[in-house]
This record gives sequence, structure tokens and C-alpha cells, in this order.
Amino acid sequence: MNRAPRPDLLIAYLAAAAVAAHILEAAIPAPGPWFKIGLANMFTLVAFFHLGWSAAALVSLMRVMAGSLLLGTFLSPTFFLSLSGAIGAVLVMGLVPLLPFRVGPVGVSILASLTHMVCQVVVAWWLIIGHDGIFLALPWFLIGSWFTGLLNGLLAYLILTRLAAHQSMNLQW
Amino acid sequence: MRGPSRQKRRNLVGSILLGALLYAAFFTGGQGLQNKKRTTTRLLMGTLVSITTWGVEEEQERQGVAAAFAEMARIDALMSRHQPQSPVAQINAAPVGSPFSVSPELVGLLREAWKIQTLSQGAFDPGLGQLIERWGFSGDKPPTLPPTKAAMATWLATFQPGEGIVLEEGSAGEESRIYLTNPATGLDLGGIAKGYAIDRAIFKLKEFGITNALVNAGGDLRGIGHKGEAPWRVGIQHPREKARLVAESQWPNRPDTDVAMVTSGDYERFFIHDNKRYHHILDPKSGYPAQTGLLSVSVQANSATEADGWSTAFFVLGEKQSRKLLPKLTGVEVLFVRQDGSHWKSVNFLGKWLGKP
Amino acid sequence: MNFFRLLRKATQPGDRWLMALSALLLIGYAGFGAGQRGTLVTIHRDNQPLNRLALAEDSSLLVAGRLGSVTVEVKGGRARLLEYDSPRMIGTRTGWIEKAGEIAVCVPCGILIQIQGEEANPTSSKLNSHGLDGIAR
Repeated sequence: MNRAPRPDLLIAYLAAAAVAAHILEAAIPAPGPWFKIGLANMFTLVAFFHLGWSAAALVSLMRVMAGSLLLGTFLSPTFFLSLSGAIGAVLVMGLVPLLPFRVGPVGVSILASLTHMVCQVVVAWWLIIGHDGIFLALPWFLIGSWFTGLLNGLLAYLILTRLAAHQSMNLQW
Repeated sequence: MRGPSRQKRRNLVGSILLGALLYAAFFTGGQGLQNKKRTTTRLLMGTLVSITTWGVEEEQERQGVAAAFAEMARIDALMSRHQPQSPVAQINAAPVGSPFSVSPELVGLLREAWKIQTLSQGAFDPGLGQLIERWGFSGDKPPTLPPTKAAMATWLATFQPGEGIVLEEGSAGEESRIYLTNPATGLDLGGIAKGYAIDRAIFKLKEFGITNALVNAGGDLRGIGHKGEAPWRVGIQHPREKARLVAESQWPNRPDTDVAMVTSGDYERFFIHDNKRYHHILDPKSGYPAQTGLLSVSVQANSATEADGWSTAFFVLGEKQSRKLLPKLTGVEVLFVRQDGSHWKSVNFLGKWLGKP
Repeated sequence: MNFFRLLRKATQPGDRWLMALSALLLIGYAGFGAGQRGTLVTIHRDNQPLNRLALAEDSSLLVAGRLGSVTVEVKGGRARLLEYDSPRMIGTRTGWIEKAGEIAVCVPCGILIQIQGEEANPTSSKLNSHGLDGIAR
């Protein structure tokens, strides 16, 4: 294809890809709800750098909704954790233009990933766990989030550069 | 303002916001939310007593907790059968038939004990002081041998369950008096003393304006209020394996919550002799440790005094008799852990069974 | 290495700045913010503080209890009461204790030892890991 797809179609593709990635990841056994890589986020990042913040917000929220409906966790505690993390991450992405320096997918991804984890843990503490012990584990979870953020950022970068190569569009961030 | 200076302004705002966000997220999450719960632990009444409060300002907490501990120590001294100045010790030391003046507090406790004694048809008895002495469970050094058959026989022959303690109510303005009428009777309120101390501790905490607290005296507890958005959560220890839990209990997450829970078990004070386990919950009818096929009984009630008394009574009565009694009691819930590892709990007992012991 | 070259291509100075800053904050938080390791063990007799031992050095101390002497032993950053004759040893954990707030007790001896950590409000690790505020027994 030589022409860029319409923005709303691209959002739909990215959201679909994100949901697919989310479900694929859910099939992998993990020691706990905190130990996920969150590959679906790379598509949110692509949307952010390619189409802007509102597109990223849409992709992220659609992924949370559709993903939970398909996995059968809609309105469950997991769903609220997911949602709170996603909302936090999206809000933080909105602050990116305010930064005094330019950031690319890696930086935004790490930032969003850390915020996502903090929001999840706070909501989990508030709604589910109800005792302070969870905060003992938080530093270690955050270190994990830092690395998964890095990974997702790199993957998003790779996708974005290939998108640019194929669509011969001006990609600037 | 356009162009570069506007961008600069936005950048400054952004940096501050980012810095604030990061700081708030990383540090507040870990620190600020933890410091509202405080626990103080003391050695009291022959066991570890912890008082946990939530969301109370430091100085108020310190004073309230100190007052609560002081009150518990006072009651410990009041109930002691060994400290010579305690009223209970003096009643026991006095010759049969000679009255001793007592405070309204002691009268109230005795009445409470008698109430449970009547309702439980004698399974709970505040007159077992001599029997307990013979077994040696209340001394500092735990016993290793059961009392001789002869000693038991003389006690059984002389003791009259349900009699032996007389209360003379003082008329207006006069003090009441208690005396014993049977040489085999010894006044021992140990079956409700700890519960009463816990109730008084809570009373003192409330006096200092503390409304969210958990008092834990050697495994018997009473909790009021909650921890902000979370309820008090308590584990019930496994009767045989100290490191395991047999059930988990969550109090209602409301500011007006008030639940007391006391557990009586055959593992608290015991010795093994000739392959047989002798524990400290004695059956007044036989004089020997109650054998009712139970490992432990946990009772929840509106006051720790009641819970304390009933946990002993139910253990002695056994599960069947106790369950027949339950409908007549208000606010009393129970969990039985049987010797074979199975359990039974009443409908409104707050607690989730965690698995077979 | 392939990975680091990719990393350099994929990131701008802003990214690297962000990465470094967040990494530093995280390390600080993990090291100091939420730590609950014990630094010393305090010994009480009848609720009066008697002595303290640092957990960093292995040591043992003979303490006079109500029924005779009791040894408090510190080894490998942990502490315990070496009691001999008291089956009624009551505590939130028997044997070795090491986290801030943990307690070991010999009730008839009147001896209580507790781990003090850097935390202002230590909580027992067993209670913490279950999310419980108390154990009933």
C-alpha cells in the first residue's frame, strides 16, 4: 500500500492488534497478575506517536474493554485493576508534550509502564488486599515494569520505523 | 505570548508536574499509607498482649494504649489467685464461711460467671480453683503428671458443682460480701478474666477517643471499627501446627463494628503423660480434662467476657449439646474444630475455613 | 551488541534522561523507601528494656530471666531465644526472628526480644504476608 490508511481505520487495526496481543499473552502462564509484559501496549504507543494522544487513549481503552469481554473478566477485580492502570498510563501520556525535552517511544513506554503499575497496586490495595504488605513488593514490581516498559518501547519503535518505511510518511516525535 | 517562551512555560509546568507525580507515586505509595496503623505489645497476664490502633494521632494513641494496658494489669491483679492482696486470693484464703467485702465490679463478674454456669448446665464453673491447683496448670512451671487418684477422689467427693460460693448483696450503701461454703471450692474467674480485661481495655481506648482498635491478648481478641477502607482481618491458628492457619476471619468494614473472639483449645496448656494428652480445660463433673472430640472452639460474641466464658463452656459441653444451646443465646457464634479435622461453624460466624488440618 | 545499538537508535536524549532518572528513583525507593530489615534486637525483661544487640555481628548474651538464665543468640542477621525448660514459649514466631517488629518471648522467664528496624512502624512479617492484623488461638 502506498497511501496511509485512514486514521480511524488505523485505530481499529491497532486496537484489534492490541486485543489479540492481550489475549495471546493471557494464554501464557504467569506466576501472578503482576508479572505480565503487556505486549498490547506497544500498539498504544504506535497510536500515540503516529496519530496522537486521543488515538492512543482510544486504543488503550478499547483494548481493556474488548480484552476483558473476550476473556470473561469484564467487571471483575482484574478488570478494574487493568482499567485503572490504563487510565493512569493514558493520563501520563497526555503530559508528555509538557516535558522540557523530546521523548520517543522508549521513554514514554517506561513512564506509562511505571504509572500503570503504581495505579494497579494502589487500586488493588484499596479494593482487594486492604493491608499494607503489598507496598513492600512495590519497588520490585516497579523494577519489573521499568524493564517491560523498555521492551515495549523498543518494539513500538520497530513497528513505527517499519510503518514509516512502508508508508513513506514523515514520522516525527 | 507565542512561540518559544510559551513552550518554555509549558515545559516548566510539565517538569514540575512530572516531578510531583513521580515523587507522589513512588514515595507516598510506600510510606504514607503505612503509618496509620500502630501496634504496641506487652507481656501481661502471663501472655503477649498487643493493642493495634488505626488512624489515631500519635500522642492520643500513646496515652490511650498506656491507659488500656494499665487497666488490664489492674484486672490481672484483681483476679489473681496467687498474689496475696488480690480479693480473689483473700476469699480463697479465708476460712470457710467467713465473708469478705468485694467491689461491685467483682460482683458483676461473678454474676456473669453464674449466668453462663446456669445456661451451660454446669459446664462452666467459677469454683474450680482447688481443682486447678491440683492439676498445676496455673503455676509458673507447667505440670507433667496428672494428680493422684487419691487426690482426685477426695476432691470429687467433697466438691458440689453449682454450690460453694455465696454472695451476700449489701443493701443500699453497703458493700457486698462473698464467702465460700465448701472446702473443695476455690473461686477462680480465670475462665472470663481475660475476656473481661479485653473488654475493659477497649473501654479505656474509647475513653481516649480511639474508635478503631484491635486488642489481642494471647490469641483472644476484640476489634472495634476498621482500618479506614479496610476491615480488621484475623487468622485463627491451627490447633496442632503453630505456623499454619485454619481459618481467616474478616470483621465487618464499618466504623461501628464490634466483634470479640475467644478460642479455647486443647493445645494451649497441656502435657502428655503415658501417651495421653492432659489439657487445661477441666470438666467440673469428672475433674478431668474434657474429652469431647474437639481440638478447639472459637466463639464470637458481643463482649470478650461472654466469648471467653462460652468458649470454655462449649468445649466442656461438646459440640452436640452446645449446638442445642445456641438458639437460646443472642449474638453468640461458634466454630468447632473436631479431632478428626472436620469443622462446624454457625451461620453468622465471621470466618472462612481454609482447609483440613 | 545488537541490542545496545538498537537501544541507541531508538532513543533520544530525552528518553535516556527519563530512563536514568526513573531508574535512579527506583533504586532509591527499593533500597531505602520500603525496606524493613532489622538492624538490632532489643531485649526486655518484664517489659523493661534490658539490653540491645546489633544484628550485624554474631553474638550471644546471657540474660537473667525469672526462672534462671536465658541466652539471646544473634547469628547471620537473625536472633533467637535459646530457652531450655519452657514449653509455654509464646511468640509470633518461635525460633529465629529477623524482620523489624518480630518478637520472640519466654513468658515464664519474663524475657521478650524484638527486632528493631529502620521503619517507624514495624509490623510482623507473618501478619504482613497474609494481610492479617492478628492471630487468634
